[in-house]
Amino acid sequence: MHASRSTRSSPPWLSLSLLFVLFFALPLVGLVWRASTDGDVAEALTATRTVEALRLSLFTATLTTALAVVLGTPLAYLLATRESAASRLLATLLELPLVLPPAVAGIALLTAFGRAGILGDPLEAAGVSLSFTTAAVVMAQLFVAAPYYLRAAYGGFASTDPRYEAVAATLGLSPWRVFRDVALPLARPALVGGLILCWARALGELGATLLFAGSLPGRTQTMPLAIISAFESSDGLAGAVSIAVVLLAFAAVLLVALNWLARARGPYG
Amino acid sequence: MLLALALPVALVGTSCGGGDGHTVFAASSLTDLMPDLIEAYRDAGGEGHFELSFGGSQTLAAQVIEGAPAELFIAANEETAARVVEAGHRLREAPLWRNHLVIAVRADSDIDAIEALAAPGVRIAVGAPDVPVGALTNRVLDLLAEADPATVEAIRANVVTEDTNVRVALSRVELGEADAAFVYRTDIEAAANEDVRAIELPPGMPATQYVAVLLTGASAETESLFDFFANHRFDNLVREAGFDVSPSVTPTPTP
Repeated sequence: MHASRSTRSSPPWLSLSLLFVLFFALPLVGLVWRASTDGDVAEALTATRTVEALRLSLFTATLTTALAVVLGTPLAYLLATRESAASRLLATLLELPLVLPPAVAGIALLTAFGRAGILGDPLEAAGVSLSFTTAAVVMAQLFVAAPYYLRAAYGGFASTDPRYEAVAATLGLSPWRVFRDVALPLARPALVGGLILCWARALGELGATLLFAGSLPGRTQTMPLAIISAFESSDGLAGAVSIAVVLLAFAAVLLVALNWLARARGPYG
Repeated sequence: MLLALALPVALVGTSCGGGDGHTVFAASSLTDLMPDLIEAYRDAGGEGHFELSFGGSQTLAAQVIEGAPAELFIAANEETAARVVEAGHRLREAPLWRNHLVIAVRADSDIDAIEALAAPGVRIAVGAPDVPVGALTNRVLDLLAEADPATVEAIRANVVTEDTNVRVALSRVELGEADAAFVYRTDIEAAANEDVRAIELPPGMPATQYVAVLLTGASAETESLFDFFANHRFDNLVREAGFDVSPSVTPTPTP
C-alpha cells in the first residue's frame, strides 16, 4: 500500500500535474495581476453598470438553476427508472445543447420563441413578447445550462441499485415516498454536483443570451455581456479585467460555499 | 439570414491569422469592401500578401495595444485611431472616408421617419455607447434633442439592446426581432437584403470619419497599400459601397 502510493507520486506524474495546474493558474493570476495594475476594481465594483450586471447575473443564474432542479429532477428520474430505447434516445437528445455552440443555441431559441419563430404568432396574439426581456436571459441560460444538471441527475438515478426502491415499494411506500425518501437521498451527491455545474454554466453564459435576449444594462446585460461590452469600450482591456475580477471573486466565493454545502450535509455521505 | 446573425458573434475575439502575409486590422464595417480594395491594389501593380482581420474598432485597437502583430489599422472613428496613436504605435496616419448613420427597418414597416421611432412599443437596436456606431448614434440623438427633447427621450426609452457589433443590430431587424436599428448606410448596402430598407436622417447630421494608421514595424509593402488608401486612389469602389468620399469637414492632421 505504502509502496504503490509513492510510485503514483513519482516525478514524471508530479511535474506533469504541476504543469497542468499552472496552465489553469497562470491565466487567473494574469487577470488578477492586470486588474491590480491597469484596472480599477474598486471603481468597477461601485459602477452602476457592474452592480446591475452582477445583480442580474446572480438573479438569473440562480433562477435558472432552481428551474433546472424543479423541472429536471422528475424528468431525469422518469428517464432513469423507465429504461427503454426511447428513454435513452430522449436522454441523449436532452444532452445535445452541451455540444452546440452557444450562438447556435441562441439562434435555435429565436427560431422557436422569436417574433418570427414557430411560436411567434401565438405568443404575440397572447400579448407575450420574450426577446429582449430578462425572461429571455433565463430561457437562454436554461437551454444551455440545464443539460448539465439533467445529465448528472440521470446518471445519479440510473446508478442507484433499483432493488432499494423495489424493497421500499414492497414495504408499502407510495411511489412519491419511494422517490422522496429513497431515490432522492441516494442520488443526492450527483444532484448537488449537477446543480453546481448548471449554476456555474448559467453564470458564464454569453452567446445564446446575446442573440436571444440582447444586451441592455439592467434588463438583459449579464456579467459576461458587460465584460464584452467593456472590452469594446475605450477603457478596453483595463475595464474588462476589472469587471472580470469582480465576477471571478463572486463565482469563487459561491463555488466554495456550494461545494462546502455539498460535503457538509447528507444522510448517506 | 440566421447565419448573418451568428457570424459577427463568431468574429468577436478573432485574432490575426498566423500566415506569412502582412496583417491588416480593419473595422468590421469594412468586411465586404476590404477584399475588393486589396484586389484593386494588386490590379494597380501593388505588391504584398495581406491577411485581413475584422472586428469592432475598439477590440482591434485593444489588440494592437496588447501587441498584436498588425501593420495597418483602419478604425471606424477618430477616437479609436487616437487610442492606438497615443499608445505610441503610429508611423503615419491618414483620414479616409466617412460613413453616415441611417435607420434600418423592414421593407414592410410602417416607420417612415425618425419621429415614428418614438411611438410606444417600437423596439430599437443600437450600437453600444462605447463602439463607434453607438457613439455616433448618441451624437445624432443629442443633436436632434436640441430641437425636440421629448421625441428623443421616447426614442431612447424604446432601445431594447445595445450591441457591440452593428451587424448584429441589423440582423435583429432582418429577423424581425427589432423594429428598427441605427446602422451605417454601408451596412444596408452590404446586406443587399430586400427585406430591409434604409430611412435617411435629416440633413446636417454628423458622420463618422474612418482613419488609417500605419503601425510601427510596418513593411514597405504595407506602407504602399497605406499610400493607395491615403491618396484616395480607390474612391469609386468606396463610394459604390455607400461611403461618403467627399472631403472631410474637419480634416485629421497628418504628420
